[in-house]
Amino acid sequence: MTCDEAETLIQKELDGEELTQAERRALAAHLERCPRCSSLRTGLSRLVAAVKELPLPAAPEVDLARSAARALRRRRRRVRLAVGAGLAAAAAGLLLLLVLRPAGSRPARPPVGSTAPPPMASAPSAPTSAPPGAPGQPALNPEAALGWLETAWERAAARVAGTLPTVEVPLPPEETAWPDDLLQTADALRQLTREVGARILPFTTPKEETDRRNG
Amino acid sequence: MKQTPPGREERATDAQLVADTRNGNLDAFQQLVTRYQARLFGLCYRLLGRYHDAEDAAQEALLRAYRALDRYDPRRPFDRWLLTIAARCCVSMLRRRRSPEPQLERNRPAAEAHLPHNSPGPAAQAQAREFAQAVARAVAALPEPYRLPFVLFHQEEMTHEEIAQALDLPPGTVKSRVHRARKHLYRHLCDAGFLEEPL
Repeated sequence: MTCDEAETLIQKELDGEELTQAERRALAAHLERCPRCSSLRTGLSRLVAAVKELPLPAAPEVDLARSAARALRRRRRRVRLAVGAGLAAAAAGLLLLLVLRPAGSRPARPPVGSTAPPPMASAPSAPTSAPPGAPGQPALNPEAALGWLETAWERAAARVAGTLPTVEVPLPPEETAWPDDLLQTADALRQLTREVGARILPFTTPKEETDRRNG
Repeated sequence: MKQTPPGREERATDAQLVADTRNGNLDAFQQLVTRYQARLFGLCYRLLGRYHDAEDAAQEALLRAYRALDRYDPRRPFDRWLLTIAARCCVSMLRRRRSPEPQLERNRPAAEAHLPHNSPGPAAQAQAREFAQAVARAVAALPEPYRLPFVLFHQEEMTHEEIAQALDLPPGTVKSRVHRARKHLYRHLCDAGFLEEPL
């Protein structure tokens, strides 16, 4: 057996593979007369044993289990907010188109109509108040918060698109414990609805506008 | 959100917790994480060498695992599956660092200058500690293409096949890199006077 062949068998052993009886015998015979391979085997074994004994680093101070669960909840929200963001982009584009319409094509002042189902209130006027009839509502209900945002975005978009006569959104749940990303989204929504209310209300659909012009 | 039934925590197997998690129970996932977070973080730290990077990679691995739970085969041990994902996350993070990948032959371990030459301590315990420290430094200084398979094989006890899957390499390449890493470390420790190599 050559030294290269012996080294192959030594590596095989360290890989955790079983040597055949013939391989074991041949290796033992080689190691007896080859101090270099014998030292290699001893050294590699010592090295591997030391590597396995190396201590694990101290566990992180952050509780991964808790932070992972939090991150997952955040990610769920983000996915849902992404839907809202898409609607917002569409709404913003439509808003721009409407703002750029000739002034004569828009009515002068907003008689705020309300065809949306209760419980609803106009978004700009009640962003932080508690929902009516729900004084004991928990401080934070992420699902409810998300639901409010999504509904608000959808309605804002629908308002801009002309499928709703006024921007109506349900009152948001208590916001003090909302995460920052939700609060930012809520603020953006309020700004958009204010824009919608100030410039476009009352919105009339193209058909209504045509009817109005035709008397 | 669903709650794990009282008393279920101690009896629940990984497979049960995975099933609960698939049904939307984040508490079950939290229990799974609690079981394996030390190993998960340990693997990430060994591969990345930086505490905060290891935390980030562990976190990312957990999120990836959560998203991939539908594809998890319950016949496979959950911890092996999770660690494979973690190794992949670490590889991604190492690639993002954009550090050049040095060749084993051309690079001396960076820690060599700090290793004592022919200076074993007087007490056997001190010698063992010194040897372990030298080994740790030498492993940490291995070039990545060799360090990763070596660490995953010898410290995380993953199989060549699992490592191949995690690192996206053929199993034969994994095996040969582990061999070369061993040999390189051996020579390095001989040069540093920690192991004897007859002329």
